[in-house]
Amino acid sequence: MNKKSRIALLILIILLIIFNKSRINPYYSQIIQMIAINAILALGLNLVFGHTGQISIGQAGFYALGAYTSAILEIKLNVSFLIAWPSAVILTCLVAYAIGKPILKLHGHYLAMATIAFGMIVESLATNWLPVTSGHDGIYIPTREVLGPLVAQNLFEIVVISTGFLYVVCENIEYSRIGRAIRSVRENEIGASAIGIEHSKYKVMMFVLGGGFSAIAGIFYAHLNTVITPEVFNMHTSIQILMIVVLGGIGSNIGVVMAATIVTILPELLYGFAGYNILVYGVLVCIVLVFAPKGLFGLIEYPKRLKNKLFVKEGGNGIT
Amino acid sequence: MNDIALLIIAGLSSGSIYGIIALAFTLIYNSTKIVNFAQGSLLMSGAMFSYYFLEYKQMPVVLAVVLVIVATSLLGLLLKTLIVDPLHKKKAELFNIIIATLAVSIVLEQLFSIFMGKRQFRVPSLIEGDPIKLGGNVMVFPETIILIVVTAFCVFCFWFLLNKTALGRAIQAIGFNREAAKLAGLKTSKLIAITFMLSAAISGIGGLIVSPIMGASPYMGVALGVKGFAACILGGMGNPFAGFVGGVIIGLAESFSSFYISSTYSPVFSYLILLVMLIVKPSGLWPEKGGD
Amino acid sequence: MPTKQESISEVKPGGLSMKKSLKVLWLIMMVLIISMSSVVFSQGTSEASTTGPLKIGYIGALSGNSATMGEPARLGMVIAFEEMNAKGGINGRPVELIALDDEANPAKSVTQANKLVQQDKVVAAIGGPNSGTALANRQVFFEANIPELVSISTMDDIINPDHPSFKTTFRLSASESYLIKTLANHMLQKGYKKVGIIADTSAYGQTATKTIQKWFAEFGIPISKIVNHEVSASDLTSQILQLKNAGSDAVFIYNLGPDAALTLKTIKQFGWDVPVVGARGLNMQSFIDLAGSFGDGIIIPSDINMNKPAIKEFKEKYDAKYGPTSNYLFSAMGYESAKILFEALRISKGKGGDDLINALEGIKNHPTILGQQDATITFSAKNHEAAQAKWNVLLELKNGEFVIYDEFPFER
Repeated sequence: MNKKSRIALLILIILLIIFNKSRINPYYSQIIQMIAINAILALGLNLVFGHTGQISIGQAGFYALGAYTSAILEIKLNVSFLIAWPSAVILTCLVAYAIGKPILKLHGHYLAMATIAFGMIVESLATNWLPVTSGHDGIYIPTREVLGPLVAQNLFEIVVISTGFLYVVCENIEYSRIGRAIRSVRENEIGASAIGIEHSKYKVMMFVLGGGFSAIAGIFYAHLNTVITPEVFNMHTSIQILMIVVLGGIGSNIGVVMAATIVTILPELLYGFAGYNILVYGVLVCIVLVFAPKGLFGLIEYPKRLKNKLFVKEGGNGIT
Repeated sequence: MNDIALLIIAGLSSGSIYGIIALAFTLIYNSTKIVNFAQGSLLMSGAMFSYYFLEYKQMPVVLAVVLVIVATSLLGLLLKTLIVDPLHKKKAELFNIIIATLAVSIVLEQLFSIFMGKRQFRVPSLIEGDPIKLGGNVMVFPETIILIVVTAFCVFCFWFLLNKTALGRAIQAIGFNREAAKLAGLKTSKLIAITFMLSAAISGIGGLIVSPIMGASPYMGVALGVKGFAACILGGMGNPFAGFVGGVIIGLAESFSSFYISSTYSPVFSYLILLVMLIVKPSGLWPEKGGD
Repeated sequence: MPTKQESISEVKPGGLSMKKSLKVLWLIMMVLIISMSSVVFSQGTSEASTTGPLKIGYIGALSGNSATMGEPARLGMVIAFEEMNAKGGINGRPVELIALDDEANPAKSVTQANKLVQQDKVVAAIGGPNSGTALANRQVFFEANIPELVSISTMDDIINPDHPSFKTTFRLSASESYLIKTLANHMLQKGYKKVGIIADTSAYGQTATKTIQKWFAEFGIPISKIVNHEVSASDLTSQILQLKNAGSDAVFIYNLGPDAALTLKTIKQFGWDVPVVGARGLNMQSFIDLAGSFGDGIIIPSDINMNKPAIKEFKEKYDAKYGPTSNYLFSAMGYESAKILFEALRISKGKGGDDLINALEGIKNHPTILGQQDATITFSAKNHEAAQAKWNVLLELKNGEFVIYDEFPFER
């Protein structure tokens, strides 16, 4: 664990001790919950996009799989959450693997389209497969009953701490040998394979992990919100997660967490602009993107010669 | 037989909507490698301008059409100057520009909803009239015919422009290698501005011919943009016809799967077909030059 | 391959160096901690104050497609609030409307509900036009014991005596079941034997499809075929063709705006002369404009009867303030929602919580601008739905205007 993540975790624990849920007014705790969930989603996408450079605009599909699988297992099949939660994550990872293996051969916008298609299929199934998902009626999760009073009461803390934990996991991946290998995939696929790094293996690995993270976020969302309906898991959400990663600085874990915080809080702060708030949000995003293209915490740097090569490329190699 | 004819026309109709957006995508992509995710919103802008000039201000058709095209072209120019140029100067990654275009589509959506209203608006067809009999029991509204014909015409015009004119060849040269083109004396910035304006103009025309069928609404851009993008991918970014063909394939998949399999799950089938196509033939039917 | 350590110490153009970004991180965390602590520790109870203005919150779709319902509702509320304040308020206290936009998004709606409860400390709330959001936010108000009067949302389940939120949730609008029963009755009278249904796949169309199937079975009306489409369809040939091929003698459409217009247009395209029945949501200028002459003859239910003197009065007030419009349904419902809450607050003498809930439940035979000519509003401990009987009228679209078709549709 490096210095940065130690500091961040310490801050998190201090904050949690000062502000445990019973003392925070529900408006704020609800916002913190959403920050945590968005942060987990963004960290997941960061593994896929930030580290291996594979663009995914379908994370909401995995988000949905996590939420719905856990809800269906618990509510419709009466499975204990201790089994339902890991099962939901594992199932989502399996789907990510099944989807990832064929589509990660694609690059750039072709890959983007494939992920969009995946997200759309999941959304359509969640909306229309009534016997299983109850469609727009949604699935109700009586959190207290399902988790038992002890866990339900502390769910907020569990979610926040898990976010911190997942952040540390991401940081560890980044600094490990795997991390260096993965970054070499991002920077130069041909070069990487020349020195023997099987980039397809790492691409799929990160894609599956990203799916797993999204599933966890989905499980938390389902149990914190007590009801899940299909609208939440649409392309709009996938795009929002992508924006968070870009704003935060692709590849920077702390960056995406900060960006998740800002993106979640910003609409609330913009309330004064009633009617114009989304416009202001959009303009702010544009300004940040144009003036700080590396994002708020862009820590990934390319050697200069590689950058020139990327820009005057012959033919198309997509987005990286 | 009658049913099949009607379903084919339906596929051509939807296909033209996706295809004209795909055409605009392809144009910008071929010269700058930028995937302009604001393309759907540019069509929306065209549709909203069409409402404003044709329906709200009741202007004569020819004048209104010209104004719509001019207005959307200006938007295209603005997009290039305010977003693409600054990012290019900063040597930003291609993909930052692409994400910025996503943000731009949000801004456009908001601007139109604030200035023109949040509801859906009616746009009259360029030629009003009763359904026309095409043979047998097959009837089609004039606006559908206009949609398909105009789209095909635009596609042809752009093929001609890109392959048979000096301007077109210059635009393609920039796409191949911008540095080399610059060295060869081409005014790259100006040409790219023209590309953006042309692409926006196509979207403006798209708005004119789509809105009599779907209405005009500030929120119509995103969903159509995704379909247009899918049409591009399916057809490949290789030439102007590719997007149109891709769009028609998607349109046909939609109408046939909706009729013969399930109208509820039709999107699932269309996207599945797309996924399969991507896995089987990743660069589309007409791969872009330079390979993928 | 440069290690992470090496690349970090370079100063990047346009980026921040490692030391600097850590500093910024600290700064941001400190700011967050300080700003949060000031508000967090000043948290009082979530009860509304007993002096100062009486605050009522409204959470509805003020942007996006549903704004066509949510925004007019707000405009109607504003009239009611201004009227009340001109009369000196309730018990001498002015009334204040806090309108928040939930963008028809349930998660947002919950956040806004929390804001109204915790920060604005409202004494009552008015729910918006969407059903998903009402389902989501009623829980927040229930937990705060703040009554929510749902203005427009129709999903049956919103008022569910078996769900704990029933205690604080009331509704003014006719429920989906009631609206569909009204239409079913009309179809029965007309003797349709094979009704084709086309619905969109949003919550609007999907829940309605189930309700339609339920009541048509009860009324004994056979359904020939059900077809669906996604919202903002570019083509509906396949759907209409399927309905026609199934031999439908009437078509029931459950979609909105451009989709509904396209449906009618496609029917015309086939030269198919079939009677069409639609839902309340078609009572909007955008649909009327988009449908043009293709809409003529379509029958829909409505919660308001423009012939009723009370609503003519409301129309005058609306026109004076905002200028005439084609459809007063949603603004009238917004207006009436506010008025009913005012009446309850008058009875409870400005107190919220249980007192206000009891006051609402005590409202009996209260005159209303909504409903049929002789409709009144009655709530009780067991009944939180204002629309029980004599509430709907049937309208027909004629020459670009919805006119009364039947003022007293027979009801079961």
